Amino acid sequence: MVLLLTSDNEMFSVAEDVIKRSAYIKNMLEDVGESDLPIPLPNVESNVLVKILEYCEHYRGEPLPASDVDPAEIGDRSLDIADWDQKYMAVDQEMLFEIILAANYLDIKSLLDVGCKTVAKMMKGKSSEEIRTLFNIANDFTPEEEAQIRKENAWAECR
Amino acid sequence: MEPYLAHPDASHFSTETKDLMDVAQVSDVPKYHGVLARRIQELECELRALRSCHNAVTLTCRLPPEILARIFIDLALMGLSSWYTDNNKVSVSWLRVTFVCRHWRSVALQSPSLWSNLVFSNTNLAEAMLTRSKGAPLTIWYNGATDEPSPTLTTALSSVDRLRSVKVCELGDPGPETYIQTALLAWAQKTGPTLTSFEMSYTHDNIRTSSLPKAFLRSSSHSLRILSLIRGDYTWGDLPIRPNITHLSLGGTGKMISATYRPTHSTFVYSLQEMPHLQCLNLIGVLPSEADPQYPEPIYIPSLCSLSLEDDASIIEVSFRTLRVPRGARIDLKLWYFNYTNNIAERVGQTLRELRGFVPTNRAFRELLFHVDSRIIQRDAPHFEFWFEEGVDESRAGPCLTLSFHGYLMNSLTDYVTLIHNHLGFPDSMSLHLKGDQYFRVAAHTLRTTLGQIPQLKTITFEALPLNEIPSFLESPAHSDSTYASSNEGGCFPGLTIINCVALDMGALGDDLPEVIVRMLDGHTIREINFRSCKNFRKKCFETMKEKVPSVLFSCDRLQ
Repeated sequence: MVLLLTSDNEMFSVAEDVIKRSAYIKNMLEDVGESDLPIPLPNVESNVLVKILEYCEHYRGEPLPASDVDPAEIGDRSLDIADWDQKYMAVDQEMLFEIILAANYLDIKSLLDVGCKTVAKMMKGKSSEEIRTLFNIANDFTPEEEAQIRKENAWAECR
Repeated sequence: MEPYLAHPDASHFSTETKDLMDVAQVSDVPKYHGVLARRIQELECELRALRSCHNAVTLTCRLPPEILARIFIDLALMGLSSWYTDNNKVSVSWLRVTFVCRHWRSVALQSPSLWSNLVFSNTNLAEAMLTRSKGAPLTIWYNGATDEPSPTLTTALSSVDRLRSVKVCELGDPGPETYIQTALLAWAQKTGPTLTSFEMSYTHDNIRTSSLPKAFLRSSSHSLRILSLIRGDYTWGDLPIRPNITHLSLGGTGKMISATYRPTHSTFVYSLQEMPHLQCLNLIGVLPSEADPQYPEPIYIPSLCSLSLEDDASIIEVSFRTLRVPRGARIDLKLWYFNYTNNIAERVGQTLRELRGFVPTNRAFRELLFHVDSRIIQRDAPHFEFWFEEGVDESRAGPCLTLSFHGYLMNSLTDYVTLIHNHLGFPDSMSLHLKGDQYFRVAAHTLRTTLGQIPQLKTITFEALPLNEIPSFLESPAHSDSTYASSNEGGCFPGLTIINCVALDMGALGDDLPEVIVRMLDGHTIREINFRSCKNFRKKCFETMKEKVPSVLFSCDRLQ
C-alpha cells in the first residue's frame, strides 16, 4: 500500500497497482523505493483525490496509454469519450477543472486526455460569446484587437 | 427646459475624474475635449484591465497554458474529424477560441501545434495558419472540389522536412492541381523524414502519370504508416509497401479495374507478408483476379482490425480463399454482380456459400452490400445489404442481423432472406430496413408471408414508403371467427417490438392516423415506435396516439 497526504492533510492508503496509473507516483516509488512515509500531494485536495482514485480503481489492470502520442495528430487519438468516462466527468465545472489540474500534476495521461476532451466538447458548436458565458469570461480585447478579430471571424465561418 | 440637463451627475465620478472636471473649467473647448478623451481612454484601459483581472481567476485561466492549448487542439481535431464523415470538408469553428479573451488568444497564438493542421477553405486562413504553425510538423487537408487553390498549398507541400501528413482529395481540376503538381515535382529528389500519412484521391480516371510522387513516397517509406490512393495512375509495383504500413487503402475505377492494373496473386501475397502490422485494408477494384495454385495456403493478416473489399463478386470470392483475418476484425464487403444478368440470386447464393467458409456463422461483420444493378453505384441505387453487429444493444448478448433492402430488390427480398438463412443462419435478434416507395406496395404481401414468420425479427424500419401500405402490412390477419393468428402461424411478426418510421408522409392518413395506428398495433407486443424526419405529422395526432396506447413508448423528432 502507498500512503498519500493531500493538501488538506488527509491521509489515503492506496493499493500500489491502483495509483501506479499516475506516472508521477510510479516514478517516485521507483526512485525512493519502499517507504512508510506518506507522499505529500500539496496540489491535490482530498475531495479531488477521492475522485482521482475512483478513476484509477476503475481502470485498474488496464494497460497504460502510450506516452509518445502527439495530441495534434488526429490519426493517433480517438476523440470519442467512453460511456463510463462521460459519466465520471459529469461533475460541476469547478471539480472538472480540479480533476484536470490533478491529472496533470499526477501525470495520469489518460485522465488528462478525457478531461481535455470533455472541456473541448463543452465548447463545440458554441460562439465566442456563448463560450464566455459558459466559463464566466469577460471580453477584455482592445479596440485594435477587436478589429483584427472581426477580420478573422470570417475565416471561422467559412468551410 | 432645465438649463444644465446636459451635464452628468458628478456623484458618479471617481476622485481622479472629479479633479479633472475641476481643472477643466476652461473656456478652451477643444482643449477640454482633449482632456476628456484622454481620461476616457484611461478609463477604458482600466476597464479592460479589470476584465483581465476578472478572467485571471476564472477556472480556464487557472489551467497551465499547455493544458488550455491542448483543449483547443482537441476542439480543432473535432472539427477536422468531419473530413471523414462529411465529404472531405472540415469545420474551423474552433477558431472562435481565439476570440474569447486576450489570455485565450495569446495561448492559442503561441501554440504552433494548434495551427499545424492546415486547411484551405480560405486563403488568408491558410496563410495565417502556416505562419502561426512556426516549425511544427504539418498536416495538409485539401479538398480540390471545395477549397481555394492557393500558393500557400505549394509552400506547405514544399516544406518536406515538416510534412507529417498529406490529405488531398477530389483532385482532377487543372486549377488546384497546378499548385499540387508544382510541389510534387519539387519532391522528386527529396525525402519526407516525418511523413507518416499520404492520402490522395482523384475525381475521375483522366489522371496524368506524373500525379503520383512515386520516388518521394518510396524514399519516405521508412516513416510512412498510412497510404491511401484512390483513382490515381499507379500500378501495384509503384507502391511503397514496407513493414511500417498500418493502413492501406487503394481504389481504382475504369481502366484501373482491368486485369493489367491488378496485382498477381503472388505479388499480392508478398505485399501482405511485407506488412505485418497492417490494421486496415481497404481495396476497391484492385484485388488479384485469380488465385495462384502455387499458393494453396491462405495468408493470415494477424493485426488486421478492418477489412473492406469492393469488387466483382467472383473476385471477392477468390479473396475468401486466399485471405484469413483475426476473428474480431470488422469486415465490409461490397459485391458487384454487374456481369450476371440471369440467376443473380443463384450467384448471391454462391457468394454466401463461399463466405461461410471465410467467416464463421453469425460472426459480427459490419456490412455486406450487394450491387446487382450496374446503372450507378450510389447508396440509394437499388441494392440490398445486411450485417451482423455486436454490442449495439447492451441487453442483447448475441449479434443482431440487419437486412436492408432498397428499391426494386424488395421484390426479391424473400429469395435473398432464404439464402442468408440457409448459408449463414439467423441470430436471436434481427432488424429489417425497407426503403423503396412503389416497390413496397407490390411486394408487401410476399414480404409479410416470409418475414412475418421469423420470430427473431425484433425491429422494422420503414423509410420513404407510402404510409397507408404499412398498417395492412403489419395488422394481424383476422380469422373467420375474428380471433388473431397465433404466433406459430405465418405472417404475424411474433417477435416484433420496435417500429421505426423514417421520412414518411404522416398526412397521408389524415385524421384517421391515430385510429389506424392503434388498430395496427392490436395483437402485437410493440414496445416502441419512433418517428424520424416524418412530414405533415400533427402534434394532436401524435398526442392522441400516445393517449390511446400508453403501453407503447412513442418518440418523434418533428411535429407540426
